[in-house]
Amino acid sequence: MKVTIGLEIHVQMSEAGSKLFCNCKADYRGLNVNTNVCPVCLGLPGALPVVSRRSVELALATSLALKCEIPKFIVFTRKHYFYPDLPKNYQISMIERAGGVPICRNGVISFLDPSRWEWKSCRIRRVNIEEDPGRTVYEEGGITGSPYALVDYNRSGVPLLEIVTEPDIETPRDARLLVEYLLLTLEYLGVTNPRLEGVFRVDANVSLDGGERVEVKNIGSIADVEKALNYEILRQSKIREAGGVIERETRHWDPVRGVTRPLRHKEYEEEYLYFPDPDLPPIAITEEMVKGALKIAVEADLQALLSELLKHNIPPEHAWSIVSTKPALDLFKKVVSLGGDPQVVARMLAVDYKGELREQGKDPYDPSNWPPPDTILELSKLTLTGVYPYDTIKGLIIPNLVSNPLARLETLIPEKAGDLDLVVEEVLREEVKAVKDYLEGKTQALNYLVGRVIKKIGRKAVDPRIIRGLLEKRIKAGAPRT
Amino acid sequence: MDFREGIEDPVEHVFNVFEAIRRWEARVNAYISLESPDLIVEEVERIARGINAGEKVGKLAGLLVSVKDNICTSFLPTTAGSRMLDPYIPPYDATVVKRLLEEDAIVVGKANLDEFAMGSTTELSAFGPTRNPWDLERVPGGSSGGSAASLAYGGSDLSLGSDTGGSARLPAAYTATVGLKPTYGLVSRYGLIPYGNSLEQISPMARSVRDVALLLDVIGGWDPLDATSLRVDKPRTFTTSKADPSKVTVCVVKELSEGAEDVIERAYWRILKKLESEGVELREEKLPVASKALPAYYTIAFAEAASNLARYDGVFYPTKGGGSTWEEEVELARMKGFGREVKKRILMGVYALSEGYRDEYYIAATKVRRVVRDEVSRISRSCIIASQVSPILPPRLGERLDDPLKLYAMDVYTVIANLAGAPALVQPIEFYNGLPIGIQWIGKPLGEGELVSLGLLVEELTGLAGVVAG
Amino acid sequence: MMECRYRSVVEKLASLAKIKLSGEEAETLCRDLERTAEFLRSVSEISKELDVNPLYYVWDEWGPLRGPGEPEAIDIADLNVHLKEGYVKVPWRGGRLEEA
Repeated sequence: MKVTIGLEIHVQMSEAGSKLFCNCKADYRGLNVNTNVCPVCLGLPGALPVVSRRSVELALATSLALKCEIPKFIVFTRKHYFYPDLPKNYQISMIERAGGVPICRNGVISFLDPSRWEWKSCRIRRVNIEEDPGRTVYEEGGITGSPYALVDYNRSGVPLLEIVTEPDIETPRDARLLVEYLLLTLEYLGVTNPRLEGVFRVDANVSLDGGERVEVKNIGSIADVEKALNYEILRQSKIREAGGVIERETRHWDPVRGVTRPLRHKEYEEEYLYFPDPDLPPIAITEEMVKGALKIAVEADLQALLSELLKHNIPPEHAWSIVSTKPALDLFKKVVSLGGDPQVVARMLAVDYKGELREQGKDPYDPSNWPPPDTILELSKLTLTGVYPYDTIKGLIIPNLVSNPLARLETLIPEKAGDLDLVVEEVLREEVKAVKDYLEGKTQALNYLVGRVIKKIGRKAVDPRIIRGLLEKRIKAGAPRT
Repeated sequence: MDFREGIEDPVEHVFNVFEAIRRWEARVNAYISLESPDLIVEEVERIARGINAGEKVGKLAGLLVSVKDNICTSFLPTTAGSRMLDPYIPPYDATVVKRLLEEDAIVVGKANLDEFAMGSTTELSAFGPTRNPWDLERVPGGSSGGSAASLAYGGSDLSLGSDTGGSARLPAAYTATVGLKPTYGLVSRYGLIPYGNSLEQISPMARSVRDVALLLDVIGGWDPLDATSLRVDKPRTFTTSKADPSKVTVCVVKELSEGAEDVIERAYWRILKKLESEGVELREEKLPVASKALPAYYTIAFAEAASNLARYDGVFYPTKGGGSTWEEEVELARMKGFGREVKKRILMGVYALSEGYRDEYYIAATKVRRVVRDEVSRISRSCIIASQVSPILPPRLGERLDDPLKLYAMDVYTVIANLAGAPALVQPIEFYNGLPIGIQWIGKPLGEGELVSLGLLVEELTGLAGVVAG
Repeated sequence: MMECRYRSVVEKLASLAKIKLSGEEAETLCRDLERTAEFLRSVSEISKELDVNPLYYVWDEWGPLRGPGEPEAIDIADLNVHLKEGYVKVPWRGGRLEEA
């Protein structure tokens, strides 16, 4: 059974600073409703749109990253339909058959399947810049039955990239991997923060064995990309097995129930009355703009970044773990540029530090949860000297560092083994009864001894496991020397 | 103006204007809303004190300006002459209004207009028609009829109108006032409630060419809030001198000179011949595409209107539908809020843009537009184009309303300048049986200075500057 | 009186434009629109002879890009809206707003 999937991904340019046509904020999360609004994004009579430079720069960088044909100028168009969250009752977009000119045509995305380390590719049909409408909330009865609709216009006018692929994708898993990779690329381009709530939506078109395609709308998470497509393929196969025919339709993904449902009401007018927006003369894409965008795009070439890491013989899983978490990659680059050993640093960040972040429930995407490069540099050097076993570093120092990334390394490093021997000896001499108890099988006594050692050492960091090990060794070896 | 040369006292001037309003306004209905007289007096007294103290005051200090009610003011309702926006108080001022206030102008009130600027007679306002002070049974032209009428009876010194297809120029011709449609993009549209947004400009109107130039210099120039605004400095036309006739070439375009009533044609040729005798060179030109300009203009205007008026769905605006579903609410609000002509134009615009008709109507019209623009640009490069303004004398109320094409036909000479983006000036040349007749001059892009210069020469010949209805 | 033959077209247009028309209004508009459409259609013939591209923006100039700036925020309560907990409230399926 041949599956054909095409995707339409809408991503908010949450890092663009301002909305597409006015100075209200591009990231509206956390604001009180209807406080991020102005005459332009409310479509008040007489208010006029003016295109934001930053949005165009970021969109252009995206086009370059997707290896698109770059136009000499872009043209915005109006798409008319009536909906409460669309204040002007038209959306400003870039529809080609209306006379619009998109920011990208005929690109291609190469995306990675990290677990198999396979690169796949998918053609990009076009990328448009357009404005987001506001957000509608329904009361009891939901979208089909709520007596009233409540609208928040904070989101109205936020800049969106609409990225449309050719139907080159063959499995739901590939679709998910593509979206993940694309979002990561956009994060590196400084276009968006993929983890913000509602920052992207995916519509997928899927057909089986060259049959009619069904559009599935309202996919709002990476996991749902795969889930929704799996469901839809199953649904369609069952119909065909039973002898039925798939008709072209649009369906709505219900993430709660895990099913796709037909869209009952035609919420969308078929006639959009497209024409170029008279308030927005075409915008030139100059050589200078392309040069500037290229600088941004180069920083987001994930394939090149991964190659760089692999050149140092870093295992691919570590390389991917680092690159897929941008603060880790940023840190890695800095530490290596200061002279850190790439393999050691890579392992430390990709496995140990990231793992500990997870343990402590901290957000790996928050740069403030990562330490400064000097700390990691020192730590990496420490592992190479062998002064501390890797276990100590991984088991003690790193967890402490994760709890307090800005702490100075000296405060995190435990006592050198030599000093520890002396203290252990001292304690064993003093705590004769405890030693006796331990030898008689009371394992609790060992804990007590560990505590005595820690107390004697004072405020300096110690690894209790090392102490325990030393105590056990000494006790087994024989009575303390007097 | 006068008082700045020490002739009149600004406070006394304001009371004279109030008196004119008291005498005329009830019959003429030029205004939809008037600023509180107390506030005006307070303002003018402040200005007078400043003048007396030798302080620097704005270029428009103490002048009373009427503002067409499709231009947003945050201090007076802005209705666009429509039930839909009655009363809507914008939360911001149009850029041109800000510029007026920066120069110490006083906004005396919001002038009546055809609803959403759609009309040529100012009979289609939700607030009643405006009458022509020169003959109260006749229309003042439209859609900036309130602006023109307020000037004509002395109820304002200056006025801001708007011109999408002749809406500032036709009223000027019918009221013996002066109206200038600027080069497209010279004056900011931020705050102008849009009708045909690729065609229209806010237009300075006054009783003399010099006053129009003064007003243009204040309101014109680049505005970063309007992406169609030209990146040029503020115009400097007020100090332009009267044209030297021997240096002026006027192109008499055949298609723009023929087809008017005899009386008008005779007046037209009289002034042209007079100019010729003063030394102006007259040259014949042809503009064959002109015959298609009117339908091309209306196609584009209707399409843009349908789009620009889609936003009026009752949500942010005073006229609500009272419906129980979203669709019903929108349909009823638009049924109640819009007048018949507005509905007509919206439906026609939807038709012109719909799949299957777009090529035949909208796209075709934009192609004709390119030819009009290029031809007008070509001709106006080397001369000022002479043109009629109106095919008829100011009609009586009701005369043009029984057939839509009769209404649209009034714009036959004026739409060319909107399609071409060219500046165009209209000024009075004669009276016939007490009814004003005007002439239109079309210039090259950003050629307002030359139009003003010629206008000053014509004024000298006609002696009609500053004329006010008795 | 014979019904205007474009009635169904007018009704479709009214539904696209979301304007409710009374039967009488639809009839009058229909006649006016019929005449107007015929008048506008005369453009299409001549445009076929013209070998030019459509003109959407009157000058051959590029549009501007806007640099960063301060938002000109407004208070939504200043508009003629019905609010519920800060949200703009509109009828959806069955809820009627009190006349403003």
